[in-house]
Amino acid sequence: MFLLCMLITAFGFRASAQLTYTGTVVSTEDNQPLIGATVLIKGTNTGVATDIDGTFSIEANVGQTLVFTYTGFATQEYTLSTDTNLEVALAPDNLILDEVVITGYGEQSRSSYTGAAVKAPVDRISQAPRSTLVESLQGNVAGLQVNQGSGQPGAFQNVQIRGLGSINAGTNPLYVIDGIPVINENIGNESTTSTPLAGLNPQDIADIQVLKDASATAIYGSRGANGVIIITTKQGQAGAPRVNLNVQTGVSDVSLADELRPLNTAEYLELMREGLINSGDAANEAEANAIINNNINDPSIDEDWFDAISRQGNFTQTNLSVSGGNDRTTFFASGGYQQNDGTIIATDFERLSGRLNLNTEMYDWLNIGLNVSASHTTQNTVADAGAFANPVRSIFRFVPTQPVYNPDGSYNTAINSGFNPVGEANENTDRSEITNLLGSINAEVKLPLDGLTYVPYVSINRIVGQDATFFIPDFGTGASRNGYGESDFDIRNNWIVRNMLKYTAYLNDAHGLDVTLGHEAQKFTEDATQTLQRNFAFPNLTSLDNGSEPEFIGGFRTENRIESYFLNTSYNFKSKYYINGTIRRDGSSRFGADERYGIFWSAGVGINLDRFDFMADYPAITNLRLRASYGENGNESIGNFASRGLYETGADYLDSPGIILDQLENSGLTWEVNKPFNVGVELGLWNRVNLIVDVYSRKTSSLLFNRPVSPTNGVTSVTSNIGELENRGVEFQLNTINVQGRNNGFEWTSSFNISFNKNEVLSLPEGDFPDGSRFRAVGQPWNTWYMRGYAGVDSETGQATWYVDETETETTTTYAEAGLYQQGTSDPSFFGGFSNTFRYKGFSLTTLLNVDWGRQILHTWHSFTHTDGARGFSTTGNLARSIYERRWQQPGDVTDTPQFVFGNNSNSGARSTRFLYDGSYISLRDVTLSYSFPQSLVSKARLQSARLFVSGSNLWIYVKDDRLERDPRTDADGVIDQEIPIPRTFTFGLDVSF
Amino acid sequence: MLRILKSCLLLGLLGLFSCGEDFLEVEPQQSLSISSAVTDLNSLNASVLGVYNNLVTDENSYRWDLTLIPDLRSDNVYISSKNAGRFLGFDQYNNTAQSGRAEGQWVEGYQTIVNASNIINNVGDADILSSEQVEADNRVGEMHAVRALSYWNLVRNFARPFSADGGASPGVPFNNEGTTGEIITPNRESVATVYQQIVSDLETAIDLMTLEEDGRFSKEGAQALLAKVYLYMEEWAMAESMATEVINSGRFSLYPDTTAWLASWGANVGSEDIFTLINTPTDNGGVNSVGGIYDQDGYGDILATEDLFDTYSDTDGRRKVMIRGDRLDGERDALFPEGKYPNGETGQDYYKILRLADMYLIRAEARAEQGNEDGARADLDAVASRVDPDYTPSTATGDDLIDAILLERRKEFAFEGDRLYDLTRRQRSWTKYRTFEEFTVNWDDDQVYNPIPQAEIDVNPNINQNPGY
Repeated sequence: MFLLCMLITAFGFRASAQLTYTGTVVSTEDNQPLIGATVLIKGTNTGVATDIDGTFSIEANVGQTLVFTYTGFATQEYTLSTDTNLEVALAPDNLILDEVVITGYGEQSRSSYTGAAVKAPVDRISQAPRSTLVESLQGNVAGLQVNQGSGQPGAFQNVQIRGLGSINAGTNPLYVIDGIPVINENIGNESTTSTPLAGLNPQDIADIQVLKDASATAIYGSRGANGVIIITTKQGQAGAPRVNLNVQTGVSDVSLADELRPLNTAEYLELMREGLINSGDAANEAEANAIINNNINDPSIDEDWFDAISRQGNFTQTNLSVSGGNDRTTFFASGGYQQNDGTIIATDFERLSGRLNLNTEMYDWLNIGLNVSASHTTQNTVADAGAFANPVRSIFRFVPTQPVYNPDGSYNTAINSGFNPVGEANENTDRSEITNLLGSINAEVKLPLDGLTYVPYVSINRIVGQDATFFIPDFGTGASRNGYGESDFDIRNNWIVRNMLKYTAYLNDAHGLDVTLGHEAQKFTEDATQTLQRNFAFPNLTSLDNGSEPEFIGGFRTENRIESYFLNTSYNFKSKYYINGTIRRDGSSRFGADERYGIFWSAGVGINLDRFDFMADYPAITNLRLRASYGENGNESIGNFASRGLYETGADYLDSPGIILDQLENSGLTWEVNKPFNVGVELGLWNRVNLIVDVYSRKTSSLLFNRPVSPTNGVTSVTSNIGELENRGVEFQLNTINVQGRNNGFEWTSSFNISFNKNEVLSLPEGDFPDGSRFRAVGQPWNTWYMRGYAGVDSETGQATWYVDETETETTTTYAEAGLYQQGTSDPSFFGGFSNTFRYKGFSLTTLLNVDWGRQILHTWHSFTHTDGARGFSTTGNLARSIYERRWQQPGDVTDTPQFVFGNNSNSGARSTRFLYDGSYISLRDVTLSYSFPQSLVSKARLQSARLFVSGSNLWIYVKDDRLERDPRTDADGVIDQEIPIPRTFTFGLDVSF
Repeated sequence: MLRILKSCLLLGLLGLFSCGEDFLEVEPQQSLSISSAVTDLNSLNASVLGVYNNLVTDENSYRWDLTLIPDLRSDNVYISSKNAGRFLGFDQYNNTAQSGRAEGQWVEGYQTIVNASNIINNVGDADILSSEQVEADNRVGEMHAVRALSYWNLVRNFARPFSADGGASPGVPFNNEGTTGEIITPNRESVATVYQQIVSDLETAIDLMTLEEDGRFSKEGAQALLAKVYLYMEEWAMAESMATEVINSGRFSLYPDTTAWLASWGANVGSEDIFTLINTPTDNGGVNSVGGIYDQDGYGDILATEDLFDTYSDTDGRRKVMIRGDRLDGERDALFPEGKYPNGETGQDYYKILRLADMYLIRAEARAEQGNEDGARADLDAVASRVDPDYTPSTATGDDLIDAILLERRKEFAFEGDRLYDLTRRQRSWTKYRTFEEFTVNWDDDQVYNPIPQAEIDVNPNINQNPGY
């Protein structure tokens, strides 16, 4: 009995033995401690919160389950054993429940927001091995498209939100960094790819929100017509200083390298022999060889221009940040360095960046924030598009019988009119630097009336763009001037003063009211100078003083200003119904005096159905929300003086100043008006599935366009308001937790988005019109192609044929007899991304697939590489691989590539749908595999966290059109222009905190 | 203290809540309004220089296209098999309506015409002092002459020759009103009407001009152009009388010998030059110029034909503008037409639009057509003998004499952008030489004339395309 008693007691004691469990809760993304995370014993009300270091201590029994919850992170459960030391890592849940939406002039909870806003997964993308964060948004945000035209590291990226909403007035969204609308355009005179946004260190970013509709953009008025990307940098957290060090290094190469390879000498000469026989210049191979030997210096040379011009790239970055503070003042300071050497010789990018964000509560009624950042970027680039010195052009165009170097080691300049692209790239300088200083100070002053605050804000952004080019006298670009150097400065200033009065009240426990009244003035100035000097004696002394003859000196100054008043009112009833209204009056110096001011507005409603009592019957539905918005806002992104009739200076003759007609007046030129309408539904199920569906229409009226006019007017276009177009679409964003993590065990989450957008011209009062290779017609997408229809090759004769007209019933072998007609659009049918994250213990694997489907893209330069023999022995007359592989050779051959005829006169290489390709692709855009060391190990090393990772970008791509011998990713206009190919990058890195 | 701080913030709030009245008034710094383009002599001068600038700096104007293409389409030059792809449509005779160069010539031509018209039409409202009247009149005269030249270049390149049918075929549109605020879509005037406009502009120009300045039109320049225009119209008596006026003006003299003739090329205004377009180093000619494409240190893509070389006797000094050599990796023993553009790839050579030798040969042709064959031969001999010590005076008569004059024109004006028009206005056929082939071209082949640019067809319902495009 005693024994039994003892046993029972022991059992009972055992069963109820309380142990003290201690541990830390951190984020899986950065191993930062999560402060205030809830730790609850399941089935009880017993719980604690983590402290400032993310640690907790709780008494519980073995066998009980602890539930760890933290806003914005997936809940995790832990079954307790006798191990009392717990390390819990919570993963961001990507579920978009009630996160904070940062709008223009403040922030609010998602459940109170009536617009369409998307938070970009900063945690997933800040470590992608790319130079600009904008590139990494592709595939991650529904409705947002990044059109990566160039693989130049640090290049300017074109972004479109919800389709092409404007033709001339710019299509890029507004970028706002910590409340400052910043300049996002090419800086400098020489480079076409340098942007101040590349100065922003992705690792300084805490949050990115993309605002897509009226409620969102009305806040920014005329500047926000194309959507707004709001970037918030990291703020300090109170506590002991915490240092984070992140290093990452890796390599890159040209993606789709095999497809890009040009013909080698054997293949090239085989074509030439065949062409000479086909043209009748040679009766047989022997005669053809004789002609070849007479015209090609050394047919035994087999140069691989692809190898000469491409290389393995390098990617290295190091970031160091410190965060800390006390309960009144916090700070975040960081410094970063990145070096990114491109996959084409002489292309690279370097960034040095620093930041200090301070926030202090001086008095109970006064809070002051200060954000300052400085960055310096250096981009070395090469000539682009059709330029002789463009090395990318040379990959496809140079015959393999021409060597890069002469036997004596000097550059071969007997090619390409003396431009040896390897020499040009290696010996010349084409550097553009940007220094970007961005500072703002803001305050929040509580006024004597309850709920009323005054929020003043001043910012200044100074950007200094500096281009230095130098061309050695020996060959190519510099030869005709015995060497020349150019030094350009492009200095931008952008200041903003904003004053707001905000009032917040909550009346009778039912009526919530938020009112913001504000005034804002913004001024942009640009000062630029350009200086060219020639006649240089020493190739290594490149500053302008070393040249003896001034060639050109120029400079200009321009500015524009905006002044706005705005009123934003939000009302809610018991947090169930929301109504939001904004009205603002914008004035812009860009418009004629009669049209200078525009009044714009927006309205939105939202209903949180999940907060109604009847929803208690549907426990599966954890979130349900309907919202709608509509608004009208203007777009003022046109030339500073586009409405005026102007003569321009600089048309000098006899070294005396001359002027010439530059643009015709259009005094009635007015604001382009953007009218976005959006209906959205947000549905959450079981706290594991979150679906957002948005249906929208975005009408643009008074469309600004440089309408082509008859050149007999002395100009070729006039800036006009020409009509109306619409983008309609639907966007789906689905986030799921497929397998919920337990005990830091296996977890799988997915994020999927897809966007369908249809662009349609609604009216053109002056009628449909062709516009180069496009046809602008009512009922069609704006970007409708217009060219001759290629009808393939006559299988009996091997001749190219074209359709006579759009009925495509009759063909002709005479190019001039073929009619021009509409040929599809360069807009995609749909695009999207699919991201998956798998976690197990300390391991994490994240992948992102990106799809873009249904675009028709034009390769303008295939007219030079697909000439079927027209270019003869030209040293820039190499042929595309498809000419070699697909050419017609004998009657009966069914192919799309004509017979190869030396001196071909058939115009088969002239523009037609032969060079219009299906640009559909699926790419494996990002893959990251990481491992976080266990806290026990990390603590022993006196670290707070440590993580190792490998990360790759563009590792794989599927290209639908097998005729297309390159990466289909290109600019929004769908035109491939011999740009630097997009690289494939692979890196590994280490992230530690202490 | 706190109270003061609070008050300051409130005051700041009120003060900053508005900008000044003129905050949104911003004026451009590099442009001026159309209405201020011609308001006084100073702005008139700047506007006039802008028009000349158009003629000289644009590559679709004299810098490149207007000077090069007439030789390329004819039997004087051809494109090397080793080339950078430029001008091929004019060498292979397969241009399309999308030809960028045809479009460029059209755009530049009308830009020149509209700017000249603006000056002509607005000068009446300008404040010109009486002491400035002579200069102002001269400037307006220059603009009439430049407008005539531009219309003439357009009608020669985009329409059939006047002599084919008395000018009945479609010519080119007019814009003599300049910038009025209305967007125009003009139709094509007949070739005859365009020629009437050219004659009328030149007559006005001759009346207005008194100044003699290098690099600009003068009275004699306008007369010389009118003589040539009459020649194209086959108004033989008028052509002869205008040419005689220029020859007798005493301003110009034929070069005495080959040495002087050869020395006249480059950045230089010689004693024969009636109207020359001047390039200064700051005009940034560069390799994209007729010199740049002829120069083996530049593109060097264009070579002279053996046929042209063979027209010169061994003792003819003008042959020296062609240099024999091997094109690197291209044609062996080729002819480089570099001599008239000695600055080559720097693009700094002057463009000689009208020369005294032209006046002699115009008069020779006009005299021959009118039966004055002695006079014709005298003029022909005057030109030919000055560059060839072994020249034997011509004894040709009838059609042979006309052929001899045309041959002399070919030799004298090779590489100056003249040859094609002599062939077309005379309705000849010729051999087009290429590296691996040659073919016969007749004056009325469609490819001899530019297409009306697709950019014009697209926006102008009143215009008709040329045949064959």
